[in-house]
Amino acid sequence: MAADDFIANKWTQLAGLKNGPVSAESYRSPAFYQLERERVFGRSWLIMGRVEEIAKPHSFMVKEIEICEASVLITRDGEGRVQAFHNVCSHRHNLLVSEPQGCSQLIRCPYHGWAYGTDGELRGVPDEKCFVGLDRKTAGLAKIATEVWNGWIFINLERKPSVSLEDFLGDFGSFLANMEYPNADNPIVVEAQLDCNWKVVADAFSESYHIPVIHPETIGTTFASTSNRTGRLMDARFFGPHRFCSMYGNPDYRPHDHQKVEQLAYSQVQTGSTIAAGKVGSMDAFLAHPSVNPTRTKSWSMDVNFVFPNFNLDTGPGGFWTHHFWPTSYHTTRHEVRFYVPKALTVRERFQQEHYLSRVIEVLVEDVSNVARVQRGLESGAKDAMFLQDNEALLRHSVHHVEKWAKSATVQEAMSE
Amino acid sequence: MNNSLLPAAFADLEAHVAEWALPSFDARMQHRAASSMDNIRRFYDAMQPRAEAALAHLENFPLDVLPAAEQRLMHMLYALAQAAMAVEIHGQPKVGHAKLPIAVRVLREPLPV
Repeated sequence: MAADDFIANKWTQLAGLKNGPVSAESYRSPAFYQLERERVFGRSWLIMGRVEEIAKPHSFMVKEIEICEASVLITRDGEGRVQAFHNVCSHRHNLLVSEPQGCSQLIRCPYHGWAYGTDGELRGVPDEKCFVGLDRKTAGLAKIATEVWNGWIFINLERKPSVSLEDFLGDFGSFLANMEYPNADNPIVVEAQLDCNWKVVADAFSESYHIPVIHPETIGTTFASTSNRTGRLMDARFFGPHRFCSMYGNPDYRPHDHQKVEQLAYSQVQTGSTIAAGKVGSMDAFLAHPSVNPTRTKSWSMDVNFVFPNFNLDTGPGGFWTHHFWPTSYHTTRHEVRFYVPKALTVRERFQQEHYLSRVIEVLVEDVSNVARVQRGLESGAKDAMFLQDNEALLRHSVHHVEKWAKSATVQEAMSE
Repeated sequence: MNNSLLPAAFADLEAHVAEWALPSFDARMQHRAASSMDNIRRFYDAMQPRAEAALAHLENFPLDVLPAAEQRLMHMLYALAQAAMAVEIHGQPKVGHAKLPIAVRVLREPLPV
């Protein structure tokens, strides 16, 4: 293909948006952040993780949603049901569980020893006789609306969600439904505390225009080539507040002669691409899904499935990986990444995974080392607006929908066409 | 009791153990990023020609219960993957515009560690 075969100049139009400058305010305004707290994160369905993280009965995990000051305890009870609760003891509101995960039939508060079952019921109160009129039935843990969809655990912090998960996902649910998730039980977990607004880092993982420039040595030659020098998109689709794009990959990429360690790492392990850890063969059902590489091109590196507001489900020839962009203030973010890899069975597979992880961490470091510079530029107030090109349509779509949710008094209004 | 740091056939690499056979991904990554290119290159030039032999040696052991000397050799291989980032990719110890310490942390590594 020649370079101009990739010029579409239609993604922005497909997103239902107009070209032109985009306001920078939502990236730097403390007042806007308060609206995001109440109206975006406070009302959206949020992906907290996968069911495999709490596979056994009575296992649980704790997740923080800093922007909403919520500590969320997600349990699997003895019957196998998955439910989220506020991680708050009913007695004096002490945070109940302090470790990130555990497995126990009883969860005991470290302050006065109140004990709860993994179903959230209050099971034990030391010196209960002195609590006059205490009704255990009304003193269980505070439930949070929870849905499990294709193995993803969603919660909604509204006491009574304004929108069902099905309606929230809309056509994006149909697009992603029934995807296989290879190695879902074996994530590598990575975290970075970043000095930027959460959308600055989310943007960095929603376009491939930056890849040949920021990542010239790590992945510049895998995401671009002489036929697509600037990482133009292969496909983009928009589903209400959610979005998708498919990125170009150079099918001719091979390690250079001097890259002896890279050659050794990949020499006896069959992975789906040069930067992947999944095993060929185990990926067939996953790769056959119509929404994984939907254009069915050989020149494919990865797809981004952006679940509004803050979650990326990425797919590539070697499997899937995820990003969570958790705001911690209007200009700081906790960025969580999970790479799902097969369990290494041999020394060579394990060495290949180490090389793979080393390389993807370098890519992440290239991205996240730049975001603080963007934030400083934004906060300098030098400019009122950003110029976005057609292949950055996902960013334009993101700002549009975050602003729409922030402006809308009701979720119905935010979700309206 | 054998007190060798590495399996006998790899005794020539023992001088690098204290510096590079570090037990976690983050420790290896931060060490490489903060090292001089000369230092990384010395380790890479010693370890890279032995990597195939090291993998072949380690294949004789169960992956999840390596003896102590073999475990150190495995960590040296992991460190070689780090050194390769500097030598084979960046041409410098770390991403040029990254600050030290590197802001990215690996909370759960590939298993076994």
